[in-house]
Amino acid sequence: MRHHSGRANRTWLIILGILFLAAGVAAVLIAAGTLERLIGGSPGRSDRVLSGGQGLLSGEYAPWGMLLAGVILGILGLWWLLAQIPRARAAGTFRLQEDPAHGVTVCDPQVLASAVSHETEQLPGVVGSTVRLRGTADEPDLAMKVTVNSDADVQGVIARIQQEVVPHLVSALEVPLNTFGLEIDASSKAGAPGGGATVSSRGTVVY
Amino acid sequence: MSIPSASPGLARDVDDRGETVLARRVLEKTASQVARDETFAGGSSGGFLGIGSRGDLSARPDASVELAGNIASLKVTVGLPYPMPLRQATEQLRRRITERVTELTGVQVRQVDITVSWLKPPQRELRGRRKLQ
Repeated sequence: MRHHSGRANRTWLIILGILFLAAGVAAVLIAAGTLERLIGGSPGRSDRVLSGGQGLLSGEYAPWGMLLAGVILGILGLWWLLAQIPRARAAGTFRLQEDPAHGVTVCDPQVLASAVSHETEQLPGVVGSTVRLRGTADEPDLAMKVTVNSDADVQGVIARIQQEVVPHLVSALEVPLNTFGLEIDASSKAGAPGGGATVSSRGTVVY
Repeated sequence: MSIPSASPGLARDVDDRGETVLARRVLEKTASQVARDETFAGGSSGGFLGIGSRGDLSARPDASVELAGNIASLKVTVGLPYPMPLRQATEQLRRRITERVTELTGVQVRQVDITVSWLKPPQRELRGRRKLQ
């Protein structure tokens, strides 16, 4: 359910790799003197390669140009760094029906997620749940985090989620889930009032 | 007994009797009433200026109409019971609104856009104290 910047990383690494490879090849050619032979009019060893270099760098716009290039490189680097932060895949509105002639039916996945969450929290022993629904209406991805208390029958909760909660969502969407993830967390919190199957009592029982 | 033939003057009189204008609000109310009475859809009730309102299956859903001549496009915001096949339920809602609004008002409904804004899971009798015996 997390989106990583794998494709951007690969693209930029390929671009940087090509640039550094080209720079390396150029350095080897210069060092070996092949470049001199390849380019006929290239200067000899004793000639100054950058005649008038001081004039070039002491120009009026040179510091500003360097500054601009530095800022652009800095922004690109910062953008790349921020792109490394994993983020949840954006959930678009579920388009249940898309027929321009008769009309469109849409439903926010959050609406379905809250219905699933509400149903899950009604199960005995469940004290909280977080439900995320992503993907599309035809290929929905469901991720659930369910918090149970110490009195809960965890296997029972999982079974009821698989046999009741998930089938209800599938019947509502009328398509099978593309992926389904379930995480169970334990908490010392007491269950919802009336939501648990435990009956605590104190006193004397007289027969 | 002979029926007097209609003279050109009489026809002009009929034209001058006036015209019937159907307010857009009438279509909106008709559509939302049809949605509430004849389908599973509900609206929202309570709250103040839309703040604090809650889903209510016995309330009328919100509907807005765009009218072009005698052809209407509707946008309906509804709530539905959960679990229920949403595609089937909304298709039934669309069909009923199209048929009934056309039948009741004479305006041809071409398009009904539906937004499902909430779902109502079944309420279980688990809250509060229960008598065990």
